[in-house]
Amino acid sequence: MFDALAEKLKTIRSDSGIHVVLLCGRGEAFCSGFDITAALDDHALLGQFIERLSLLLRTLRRLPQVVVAAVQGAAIAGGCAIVSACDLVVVSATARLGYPVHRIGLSPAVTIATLQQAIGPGAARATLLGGQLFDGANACRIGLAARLCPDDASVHTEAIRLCRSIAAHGPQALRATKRWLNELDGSLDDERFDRPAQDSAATCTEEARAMLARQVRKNLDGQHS
Amino acid sequence: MPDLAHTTIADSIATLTMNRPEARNALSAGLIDALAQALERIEADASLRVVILAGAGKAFCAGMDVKAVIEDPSGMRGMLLGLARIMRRIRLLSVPTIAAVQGAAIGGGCGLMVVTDFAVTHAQARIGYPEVSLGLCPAVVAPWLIRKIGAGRARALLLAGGTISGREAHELGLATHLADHGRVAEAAADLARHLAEGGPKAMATTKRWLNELDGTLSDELLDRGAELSARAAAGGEAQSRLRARLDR
Repeated sequence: MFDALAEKLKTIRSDSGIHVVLLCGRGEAFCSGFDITAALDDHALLGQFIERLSLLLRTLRRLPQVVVAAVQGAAIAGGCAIVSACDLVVVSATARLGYPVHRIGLSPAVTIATLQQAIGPGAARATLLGGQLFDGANACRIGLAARLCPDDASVHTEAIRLCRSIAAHGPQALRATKRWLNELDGSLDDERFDRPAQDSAATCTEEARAMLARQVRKNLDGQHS
Repeated sequence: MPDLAHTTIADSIATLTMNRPEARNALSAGLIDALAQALERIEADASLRVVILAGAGKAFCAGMDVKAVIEDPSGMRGMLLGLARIMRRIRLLSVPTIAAVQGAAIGGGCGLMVVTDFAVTHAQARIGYPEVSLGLCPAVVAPWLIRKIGAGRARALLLAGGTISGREAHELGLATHLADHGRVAEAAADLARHLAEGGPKAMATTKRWLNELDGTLSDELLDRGAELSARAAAGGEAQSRLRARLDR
């Protein structure tokens, strides 16, 4: 999935005919985070995921085009990090977002570079350290999302409508404005992405893998009982 | 020569009024010069405690005078530099500042609204940054908007373009106070009287410290924003879109 996204974004990046990009997840969830089953057997893989997520976040943020996210269902952990890297977010009231990763021993620091600009330092502190999931209305309240839709079904329609209205603007002006915003808020500074990503990756230890395995077993038991 | 900006002073409160009501106080080269001169007087007056920025007539400020952009694209650069410097000077005033926003605050007008410490408006006012739809780049106001409402909200507002209502502006934190329509000036005056009671030295210290903490912007950075904006305004995209708007 990381490969597929990177490749598509590379093509989009160099296409001067594209002015707006809509990022969505097919099915009932936007993105539920890392593929845990793959990481259950190999803690080094988790670390690699974090490095790749960090690259994906800066690629999205630095894309010359405006990026709109349409978020229905879950946008959890890595999925929420991706949301934080988009320029405008349309969210369903019933969506669930957040970073519940400290309980499996992982630090969500990798998202700080984009989350802190998206919602401000105070809200980022509470969101990351608290770890609770929040709904679409709260995503709007803290500034992570810009448009609230009553249900999952209306998210896509509203996102398309927003994309069309943005695409009607002056494309050169949009690119200049986004580039200037990126410069002003530190989105072009690699160090702001690299250091927290390294800190996050450093928490991907054998211990974290074991906690993750226990958590997955617990969830499975819960489902069966 | 009409008085494009005038200052009245009462009880240590200065009210600086943009006075081009027939053009909804659109920022022309003349108005920008007049504001710069008025600021000189305000900066030099140590007896002032509060400054209110207001617009005569139905609208606070309709933004850059787009007719001027078309008639003299090269003159736009000087206007944008002038506006950027005015905004920095308003920010650096040692006394608290209030924008009294009735009707509309658009583009550069909305920039004046976010650089002040307080902004009073009413629920139905039209507020925002439709620059991108005209092929223009709101680079001059972006740094101040980021400081006012945060980088994420500023990003969504500037890239989506268009305008929002006074009520939405209040919810975003772009306006600090909401008054009934027709009572904006009165509410701004009430707030000014309250602020004027604060110890002037403490007020100046707090304001200087807030400016330092949120990153007092260098002239160099603000000038670069004006250059970016001027380049967009002189480009083909902006010129054709603005012409289409005026011909409509």
